Amino acid sequence: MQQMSAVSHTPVNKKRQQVFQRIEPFLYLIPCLFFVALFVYYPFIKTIINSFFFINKEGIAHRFAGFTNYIQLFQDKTFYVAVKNSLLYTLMVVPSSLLLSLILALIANKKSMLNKVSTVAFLIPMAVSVSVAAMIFNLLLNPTIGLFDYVANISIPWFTDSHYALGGLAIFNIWLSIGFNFLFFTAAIRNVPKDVIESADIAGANWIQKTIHIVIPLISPTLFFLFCMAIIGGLMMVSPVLVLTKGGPDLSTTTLVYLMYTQAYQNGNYGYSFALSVVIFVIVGTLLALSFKFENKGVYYG
Amino acid sequence: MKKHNGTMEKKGKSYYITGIITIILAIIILLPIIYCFFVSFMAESEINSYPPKFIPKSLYFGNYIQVLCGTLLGRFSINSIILALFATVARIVIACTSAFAFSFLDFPLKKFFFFLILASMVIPGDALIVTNYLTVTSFNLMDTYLGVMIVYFSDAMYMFMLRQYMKSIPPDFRDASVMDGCGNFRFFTSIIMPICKPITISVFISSFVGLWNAYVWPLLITNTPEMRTIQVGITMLSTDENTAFGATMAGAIIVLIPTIVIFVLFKEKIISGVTAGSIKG
Repeated sequence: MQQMSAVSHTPVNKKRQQVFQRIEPFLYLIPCLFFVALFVYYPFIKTIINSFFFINKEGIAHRFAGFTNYIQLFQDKTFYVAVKNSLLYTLMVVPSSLLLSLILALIANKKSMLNKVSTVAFLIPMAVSVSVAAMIFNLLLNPTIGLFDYVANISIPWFTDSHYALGGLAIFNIWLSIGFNFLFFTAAIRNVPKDVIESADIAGANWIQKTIHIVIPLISPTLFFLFCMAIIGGLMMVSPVLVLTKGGPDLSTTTLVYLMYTQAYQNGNYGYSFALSVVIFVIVGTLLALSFKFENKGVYYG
Repeated sequence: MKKHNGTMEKKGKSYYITGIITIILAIIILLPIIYCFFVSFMAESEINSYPPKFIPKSLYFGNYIQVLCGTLLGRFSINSIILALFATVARIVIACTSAFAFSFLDFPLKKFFFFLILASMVIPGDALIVTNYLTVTSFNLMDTYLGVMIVYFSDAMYMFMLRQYMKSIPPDFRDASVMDGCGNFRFFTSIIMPICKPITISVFISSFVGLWNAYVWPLLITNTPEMRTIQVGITMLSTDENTAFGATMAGAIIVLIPTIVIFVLFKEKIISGVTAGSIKG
């Protein structure tokens, strides 16, 4: 100890130590900043810049194109189909998946027998990957040998008929998102202060009153967070399309990201794909901004 | 005492009714997985028969044998374990060090860097996938483990969760260790990290499961069968012309087992991880 302080009192060492103190925080920070910059901000900026260039088949920008890529995109009928599909899909999935998992979380957090078992059961869809779930639902929703259509006494070719394919994917995704939403709702409900609930008990409130007037307002920040995540997830939906429908039949499941993906990898049309990425940012950003406007009115921060 | 009795009686009735409702709901929610499990023990003729059966006549192991011996599923699992394990470790190291800097150290532009990293959560990653693909292939990392992993190294959400947790550690700890002449790095490794063990375990679990289940990026960045991950591999068990449901369901069960076991064992850890990262301002 004495030795150390003696060393740091010599002027050269003192200076060296000061320099080290300055840069030390950045040594902890650099890995995180480096990878965020390389895989989020760099591609974000590069995508925007490249959308104004002609891009060759290797993905390299070679000539300034102005708005040519955007004009090509906005003149393409498929683009409007994709916008419609993505919005329709988001509209089908977001309210139903949030409502369903909120109800499940409220029930599972009510004191009852077996509520430990049900918590695990409702979390399990989160453990299932998109590709595995897609395989299961491909069989479950099969019009001839699938159990769902047999039990419901219908014969709907969910993934092979253009009228139903998007709906089939919505059913699939509602199920798949239960676990994630349930997890966040459960964590939020457990954070509701006990004394608030107890004072409502003394006032004679029943479970439904307590839920509507106390629990839901108190978990509204989580509800809002999940709403934003669901909107982003809905608009960005692509994996089940890649596994199950490949955008068909008749473009009925071609979503925005799927179109971006096929234009780049199948057609080598990178310019179109980058312009579409930028349009996706704008659509997602606009919807998020609208949600945040609503947040000021509807979300309660205790 | 009177009040206590009142709530006990009320609990008695709804305690069982709610229990029955939840168990019915749990069965409905888990039905696709239970169905998948049963179908994995059916022969192809039984699967294709009408009306569809839920419970197999007898235990048929042909699907499992076919998947385990006839495909590269073993190799796919090793790939997935390597990917999930190494990328998770890298993620945790990177998230912990940066969370430590944001919680305990002072430096210029601290707020700016913090929000720069946090704001990356709002940029939808799927729309960046084409550019990231071009970046990673330009590093000649196509079809390599590092190429699959590298885009996952930094994750703003985990950094944020760890920072929230570290912020709750009383500043006295730091003052005391500075007095003892303990450098920042020793303070970080021997005092902060042991305190952060519970949250680190939560992050480890959720990151591992998330990466084990990753699909689109590993599909894009690998193109030889030997490098495929298990998630990509199982979608390739059936081709467009021939859907082998039995084998696919057996593969699905094999893929599901590790994640379901993790969820059942670490349920409370997973929930407390989310609580720690919840937005408290």
